[in-house]
Amino acid sequence: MSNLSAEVIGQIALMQSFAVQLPNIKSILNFVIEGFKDIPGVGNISYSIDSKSVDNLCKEFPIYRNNNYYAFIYIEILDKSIFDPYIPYIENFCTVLAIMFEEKKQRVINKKLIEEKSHLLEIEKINYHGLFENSVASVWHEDFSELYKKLEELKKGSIKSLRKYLKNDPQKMSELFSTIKINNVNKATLKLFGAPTFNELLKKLPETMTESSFKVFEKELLAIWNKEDIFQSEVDFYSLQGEKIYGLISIKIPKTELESKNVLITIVDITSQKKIEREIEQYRDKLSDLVEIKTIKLSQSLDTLKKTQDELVEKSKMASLGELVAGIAHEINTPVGILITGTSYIKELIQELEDLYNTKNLTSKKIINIIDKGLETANLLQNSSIKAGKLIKNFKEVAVNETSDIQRKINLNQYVGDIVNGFQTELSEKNIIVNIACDESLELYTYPSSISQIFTNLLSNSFLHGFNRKNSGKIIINININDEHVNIIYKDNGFGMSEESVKKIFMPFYTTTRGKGTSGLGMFIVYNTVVQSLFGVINCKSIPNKETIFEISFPSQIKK
Amino acid sequence: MNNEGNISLGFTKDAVPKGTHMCLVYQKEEERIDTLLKYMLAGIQNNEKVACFSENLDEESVRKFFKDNNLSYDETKASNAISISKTGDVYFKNGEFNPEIMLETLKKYYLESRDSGSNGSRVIGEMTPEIENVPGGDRLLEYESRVTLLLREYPVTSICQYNANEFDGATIMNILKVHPQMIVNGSVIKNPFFIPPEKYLGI
Repeated sequence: MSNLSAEVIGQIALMQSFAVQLPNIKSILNFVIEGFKDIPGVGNISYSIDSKSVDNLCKEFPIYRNNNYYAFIYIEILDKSIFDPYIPYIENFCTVLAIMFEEKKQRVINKKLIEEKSHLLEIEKINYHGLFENSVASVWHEDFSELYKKLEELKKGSIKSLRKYLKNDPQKMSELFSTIKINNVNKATLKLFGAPTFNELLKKLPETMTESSFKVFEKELLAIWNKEDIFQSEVDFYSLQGEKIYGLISIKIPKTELESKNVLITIVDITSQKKIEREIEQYRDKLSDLVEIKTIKLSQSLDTLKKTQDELVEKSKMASLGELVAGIAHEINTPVGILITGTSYIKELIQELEDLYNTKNLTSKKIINIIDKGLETANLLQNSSIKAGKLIKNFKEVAVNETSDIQRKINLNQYVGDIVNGFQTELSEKNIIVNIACDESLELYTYPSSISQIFTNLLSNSFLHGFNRKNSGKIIINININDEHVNIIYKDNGFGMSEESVKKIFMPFYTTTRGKGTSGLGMFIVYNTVVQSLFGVINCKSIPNKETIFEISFPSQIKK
Repeated sequence: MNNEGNISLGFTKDAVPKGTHMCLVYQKEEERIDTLLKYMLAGIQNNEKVACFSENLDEESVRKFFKDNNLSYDETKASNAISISKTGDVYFKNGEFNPEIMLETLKKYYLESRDSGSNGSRVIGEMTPEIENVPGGDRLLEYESRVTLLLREYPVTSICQYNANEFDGATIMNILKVHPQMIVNGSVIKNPFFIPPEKYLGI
């Protein structure tokens, strides 16, 4: 110890005071190395940070703490006996340096962390401020801490139900409301409430409250009381100009006292939406009234229409009846007229005969003459009587007598074939070929006379009209059963008809050959038989000078 | 001018002989300003001439400090008892550091103070890192060592301020070696690192 220099030991001790002021490890080590040069017996001095050097000629002084090596100081020893006494002081100093470095490193880390945190906070602040200020929604920054304290006090007291508490004394709600401190509002809020400044809004805040907004505040209090997560509700206010504002209020209910100091409340403006809803409601009411009026009018129109329709049907019936009566009268009139005239004439002849006999002027010649005239007139009367009888028979057929026909099973192919064979003379004379395409085994439980009437009249119609002036022709009859319906296509390649004739073909007494022995009742009978007896439908199509087609369909089983 | 006896530095109870050459290695600007203001005030109160070379000293803060201590800065300034200059304007005139000119300036300052009947003279100068980049800057230590020599004959009490954050540790250690006294934790102590100018300069 006697070789130790107090001055050097003092230097080593004092170096700590300066080293601690230096900003970083490198600067401290530079300071220390420079200071160590004054220690007796040393040569070159160096250091390395973090990693170890391989300089074996130097004495190594590690600067370490808690297994963390911060640096190594290497001292070249020129005189061991002089230097060695200082080693404990140097080692001790290195320990102080280690503490210093540890603290410096920690400070650097802390500084970095603080900087990062500050940076993040700054970003958050910027973001928050940006979001707050530029939000299109109205945002209120409020302090609920006093409200929280009040509510906690109530909870600790005897209050079990806040709802009852507020109901018993409505004044309490105003008291609680007054504890809320509004820190700030954003631009959108000022715009929504038509407030020029934040202070102006605060000043006139009570004017903005509506009955509904107090009710919403009550709900909000209950949400806080019940520790809900989020409170949302529709709410309305008055702007500072007195206009109604509708909003959707949203609050994230704070859970801690710190959170309660910074509560963000957003109000989304739904005034326009509400206005549209109201307009839609008004339109709906108007529409409802309009529909009611229209319905009444329509109902009245429907009644009128029905009445008109009934009248028309009645008129149509009357017209048809009149037409029918006129037709019958017209057709019967000729033979009956002949009968009346002929009978009168015969009466005159008998009177003439009686007069000649009474006046003794009756000669053989005169008797023969009267007999000839009488016979001629009698023939005429007979012909007219037959014609009238025939007409009456036809009329009878028009009025389909259901009871006169009995249902029975027929082989349709064979039955139709028999009907066609009944016209063999006409077919041969006119050189007309009839092709029947029908399943030979097709059996039908139906009214045979109805089938007969249909085909007889269709064939007669073809002979009288289709092939009237033709010497050859073809008739095709297709019959099949499909979907429980008998479908018949009757087709001739005769003269066909005009469109006008097709439209009228099923009307009674419609004929294009009146006075030539046709009554105009044949197709009317077919129509009535298909529709009334067989409960089917019939349709006629025709191409003039080419063909006429009748399409008939009726149920295969008729239940009467 | 009586060069006998110790004088107050203002920032410490320690009294030092006139012409003491000290260095203050500081970390915080407040520490530097605090030392500086108290040092200047004590000089004025001791009827000394005071010079300050500082790059960043707000004259208003000096005025306020003086006022708080019942002194008028403006009157003091008008009487030429105090002068405040920028470091660069004094140390780096013409863009270089010339120790000879600086030493001559110090000498003149002392003589003027003496001739003006002042009770002494004191300077406080803040050295800036610019010294490391200007021509002649490498003569800083030589200059400081020569100042020690000069002050023996022309005892201008001097404090040199060095910012620990702006100079490397090695420079700081070498600065310490050329100042006989150092200010540590507000006290003036004998510098154990000090190397006498004769030894340091090899003269």
